[in-house]
Amino acid sequence: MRAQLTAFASVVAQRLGRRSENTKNIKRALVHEILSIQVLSAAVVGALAISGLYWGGQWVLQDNYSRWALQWTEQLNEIGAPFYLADDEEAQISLENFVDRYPEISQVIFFSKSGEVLHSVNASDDEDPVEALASDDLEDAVAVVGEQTPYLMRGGLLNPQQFEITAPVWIESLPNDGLFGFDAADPESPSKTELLGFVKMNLDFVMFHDRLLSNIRSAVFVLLLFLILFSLYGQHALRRALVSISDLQRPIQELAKGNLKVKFEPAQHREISDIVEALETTATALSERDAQLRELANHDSLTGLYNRRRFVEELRLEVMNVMRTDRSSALFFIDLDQFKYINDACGHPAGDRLIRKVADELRRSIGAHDVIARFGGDEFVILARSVDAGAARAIAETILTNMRRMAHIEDSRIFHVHCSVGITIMTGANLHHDELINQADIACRDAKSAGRNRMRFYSPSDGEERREITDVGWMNCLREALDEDKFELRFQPINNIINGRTTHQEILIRLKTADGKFVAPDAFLPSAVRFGLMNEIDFWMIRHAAMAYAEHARPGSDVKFSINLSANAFENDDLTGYVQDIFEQYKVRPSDIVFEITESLAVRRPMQVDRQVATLRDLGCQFALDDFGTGYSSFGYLQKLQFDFIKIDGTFVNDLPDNPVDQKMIKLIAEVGREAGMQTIAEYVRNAETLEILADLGVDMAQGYFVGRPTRIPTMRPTPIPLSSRRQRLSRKKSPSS
Amino acid sequence: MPRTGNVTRKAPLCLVLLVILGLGGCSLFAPQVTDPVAEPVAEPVVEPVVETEIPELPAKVEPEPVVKLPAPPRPPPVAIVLTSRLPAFLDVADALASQLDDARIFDLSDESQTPVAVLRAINDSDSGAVVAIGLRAATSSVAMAESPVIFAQVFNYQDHGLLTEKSRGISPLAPLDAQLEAWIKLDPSIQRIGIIIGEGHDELINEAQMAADKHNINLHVRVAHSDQETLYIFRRMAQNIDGFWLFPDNRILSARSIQKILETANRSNIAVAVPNESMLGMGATLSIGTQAKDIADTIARVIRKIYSDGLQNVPDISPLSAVRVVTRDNVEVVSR
Repeated sequence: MRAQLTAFASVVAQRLGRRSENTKNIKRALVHEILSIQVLSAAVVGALAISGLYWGGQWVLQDNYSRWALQWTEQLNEIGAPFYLADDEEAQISLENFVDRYPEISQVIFFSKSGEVLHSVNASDDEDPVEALASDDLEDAVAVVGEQTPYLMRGGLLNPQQFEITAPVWIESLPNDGLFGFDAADPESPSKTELLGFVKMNLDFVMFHDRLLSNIRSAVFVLLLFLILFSLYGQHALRRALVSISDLQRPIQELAKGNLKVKFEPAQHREISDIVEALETTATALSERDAQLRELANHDSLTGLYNRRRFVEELRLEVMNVMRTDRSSALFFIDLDQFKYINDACGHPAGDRLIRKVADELRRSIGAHDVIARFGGDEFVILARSVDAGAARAIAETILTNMRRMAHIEDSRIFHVHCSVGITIMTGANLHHDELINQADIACRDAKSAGRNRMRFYSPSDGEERREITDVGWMNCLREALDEDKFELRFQPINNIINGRTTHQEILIRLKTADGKFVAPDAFLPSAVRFGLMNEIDFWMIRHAAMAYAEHARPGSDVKFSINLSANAFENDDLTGYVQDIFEQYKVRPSDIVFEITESLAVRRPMQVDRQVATLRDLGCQFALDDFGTGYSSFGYLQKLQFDFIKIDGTFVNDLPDNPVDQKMIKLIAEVGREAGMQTIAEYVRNAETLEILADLGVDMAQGYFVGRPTRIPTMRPTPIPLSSRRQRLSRKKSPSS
Repeated sequence: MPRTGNVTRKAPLCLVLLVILGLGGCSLFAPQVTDPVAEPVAEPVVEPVVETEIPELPAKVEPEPVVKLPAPPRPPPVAIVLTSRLPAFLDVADALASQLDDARIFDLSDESQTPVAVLRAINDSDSGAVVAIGLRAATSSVAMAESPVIFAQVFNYQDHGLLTEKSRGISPLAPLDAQLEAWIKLDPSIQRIGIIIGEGHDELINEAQMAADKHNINLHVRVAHSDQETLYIFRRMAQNIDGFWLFPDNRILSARSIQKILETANRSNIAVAVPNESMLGMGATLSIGTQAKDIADTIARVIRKIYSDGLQNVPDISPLSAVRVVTRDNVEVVSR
C-alpha cells in the first residue's frame, strides 16, 4: 500500500514537474496577464465588498434587532388590550390582525397575575406548547411595574435574531380627584395600581437575516455575472487596445534583423505613438550610426580611403566576378619610398599630411570603378577592374609619374616622394585574395630591391622559391600568437663592468612558429606595427614580464628587469593604468622595473613620452634610452630627457677594438651620460677585449653574448672584471684621498 | 382687619338669622388660618335727641317721635373647609372669604386635627353653611356637617354620593359651552372633537353634546374604565378627530397615559384642550379652566340663595360663569 502511494505520489510529482517546465517554456499572453490581474483584483474587491456587506449587514441588523424589539414595547398597550378590554371582541380580532401583520411576531402569550397561561396568539401553527411563567420570571416581571422600562427583554443566545419581551399589564389612576393637584413636572404617584396579568412576545427576526442572505446571494450572483461579462469584454477591449502593440512586433523583428529602413504604422494611442516615435528615432539613429560605423569600419580615418578589411571584401567580390566572367583584373601594391625619412624628420603629423596627399594623388590616378585602399602605414593597394597586363602597366606608369611630379612641402622643405609598385594580374589561376595580395606585395618588394621608384609585375616562376612569409602572413601568425599565447620570453643579463655582477635582466620576446622555430622580434615587429598589433604585443609583454618577475625575482635581490616598450604603447593612454594594475596583480616592485624605449621614439614624441614616463617614474620605475646613437637626437636632448640609463647602440660596439671613432663616441656618451646622472650600458659585447675597452671608456654596464645569451630563465653569470677596473680599484685602496 | 360686609336690613331675614343663631349656638374657635377672619361690625350708635328751650316761634308742628328699629340680624358665619392648601382650593377659599362677612376656614390637611374634630367644631359653631372645597373636605362635610354643605372643586362627586338633601355642589368645570366657544375662537378650523370620560358623567356628556351641536362640532364621546383603555381608545379615535377635550377624570387617567395621549396627539396634529395649565408643558395645545373668583362668586350666590330661599331651591350643581383660557403664548379670560 505504501509503495503504491509512493509510486502514485512520484507520478504526480513528475507530471507536475513536467507541467511546470512546460509552463516555463510557454510565454504568457500580455492580454491574459492584464486581464487576470484585473479580474483577480475585481474578484478580490468584490469578495471584500460582499464580505463587508454581509458582516456590515449582520452588524447593522444585530444592532437593529434590539431596537426593533424595543419598538414593540411601544405597542404593549395595544397588545395588552385583551386584559382591559376583556369583553371587546374587536380588540381580540385586532390583536390577531396585529400579529398577522408583523411577521417578526411569532407568538403573543397572555398570562394571569399568577403566571398561568390564559391565551396565546401564534403566527404559525407549529409553535411549541406554552408553559406558565417561571416564578423567577414572574418576580422579575412584577418588579418592573411602574418603572420607566416596564418590560423585560431577552435575546436568544443560540439565535441572536430572536427576542423575548415579557411585560406586566396593569392599570393605574391619578390620586387626586379632578386633577386639581396634577403637576406635569412632578406627577403624583398613582393612587391605584392594579396588575391585570402579563404578556409575552416572541420576536423572530430570522426572516430579515434570511432576506439579507438572499440579497447577498443575489448580489454575489450578479457580481459574478458582471465579472464574467467584464472579463469577456475586457479581453476583447484589451486585445483591441494592444493591437497597436502587437503591430509593433513585425517591424521590431525587422529592426532586430538589421533592417533599419523598416516602416512603423502610426498608432492611435498616445503611449504607443510615443513608442513608435521612439522606435523610428532609434531606427534612424541606428541607421546613421550604422552608416558611421560602416564608414569607420570600411574606411581609413586619415585618408578616407577604404581600409584593409573593406578592400579585401571588394577583392573577394572581384575574384568571384573574374571567375564568373572569365575576364582579368589587376591588383597594385604601392609602397612609398623613404617615407620613414620624412616621418622621422618632420614628425608624424607631417607624415600624416603626406599620406593624405598621396592618397588624393592615387585617387586621381585611377578610374571611377577602381578601388583604392590604404593598406597600412605608407602602403596602398589598388584594384583595377577588367584590365589586362597592358592596362595595368599604364595605370602603374600613371601612378609613378604622378608621384614623381608630386612635391610635398613641409617645414619650408620640399620633399619628393616616390613609390614602388607591385602588380599582379588576377586570372582564373590565382584567385585567392590573400595569395593575390601576397603576389602584389612580393612584386612591390622586387621593385624596391631593384632600386625603388619603379614597378614590377609578379612572376609565378620566382614565387615558389621565394615563398617567404610576407607581412600578410605575419599578420595571421601574430594574431594567432596573441590569441593562443605563442610568444615566449627570454632573459639576457646585463652586468656591471666594474664588478662583473648582473644588475639587469632584459626581457626579450620570441615568436614560436608552426615548425617549432623561434623568430626574433626584428622579423615580426614591423609587421606587428603595420597591422596594428603592436599595442597588444606591448601589453602582452608587460603582463608576462610581471609574471616572470613574480616567478623569478628573489627577495632582497637588486637585479632589475628591463622591458622594451614600442611607440604604440605610448600612444595608448591606458598604458600607465594597465602597468599599475599588472604590477598590483603580480606584486611587482616598480623600482625593480626599467622600461626601455628607443631614442627615435623619445625624440619624435617628446611630449607624449614625457607625460607617460613621468607617470611611470612616479610609480617608481626607471627608464633606459635604447639604441642611443642611431636616432636624430643630440646630446642636448639627453639633458632634457629624464632617463636613468643610456643603452649605446650595438653598431658603436660591434667593431670597438678596431674603430677609434666609435671609441671616442662611446667615451663621449659615457661622459655626458655621467654628467647627466645616467648610467651607460653597451650592447652587443661579444668578447673580453671589447669589455676591457668599455671599462676604460667609462661605460658602466655591458650586455651581449659575452655577458650572457638570452635564456628561458634568468641567469646570472658574472663577467670577468677588466684589468683597468682592477687597477682603478687598487689605486683607490692605496690612496683613498684621490 | 376683615372688611365689614353689607348686611341686608330686611326684617324677615334678620329674624331668621336670629333664630338660626339662637338654634345654632355655635361657638367661635379661633381659626387656625390667620386671615381672613371676619370681625364683628360695630353697632351703629344712635344719639338721643336733646330738647332745649327755644324762643317762642310761630307755632310749629312737633316732629313725630323717631322709632328706633332694631339692628338687622348678622348672617351666620360660613365655615370653609379645605381639603388641602392646593392653590386650586386655597384661592377659592380666599376669594370666598373676602365676600363673606363671617367666614372661617378650616384646613383638613392640618394633621393636628382630624376631620371629625373639625366638623364637630363646625357643628358646634353657629355656621350657617359649610363650604367644602375638594373631595376630602366634601365627603367629610357631607357626612358630618349639620349645616348645609356646598361643595366645590369636586369632579367625581357622583361616585361619593355628595349630592344629598342637605348638600349642593358647584360645577368643577367652566361652562362647557363657554369652553368650546373659547376654543373655537382660538382655532376656528376645529371640527371634530373627541372626549374620553369615565362612567357616571351623563349630564356632562349631554352638556358637551349640546355645546358641540350649538357650535357645529362633531363630537366623539367614549367611556373608558382605565388609563390603558383610555389610551387604547384615544389611539383609535385619533384618526377621526382634530381636537381632544381632556376632562379631569382621574379615574381613567394616569401620568403615563396622559403623556402618551399628548405624544400621540402631537404626532397626529391633534389639538388637545386640558383642564390643567401644567399640562401645557407636556404638549397640550390650550388649558381651559375655572377662575377662583368665579367659583367663589358662585358659592356666595348659592349661600345667599340658601339663606334666602332655602336649600331646596338651589340646583344640585350650580354652573360657573367664567372660563380661563391659557395657551402656550398668552392668557385670556372670557366671562359670560
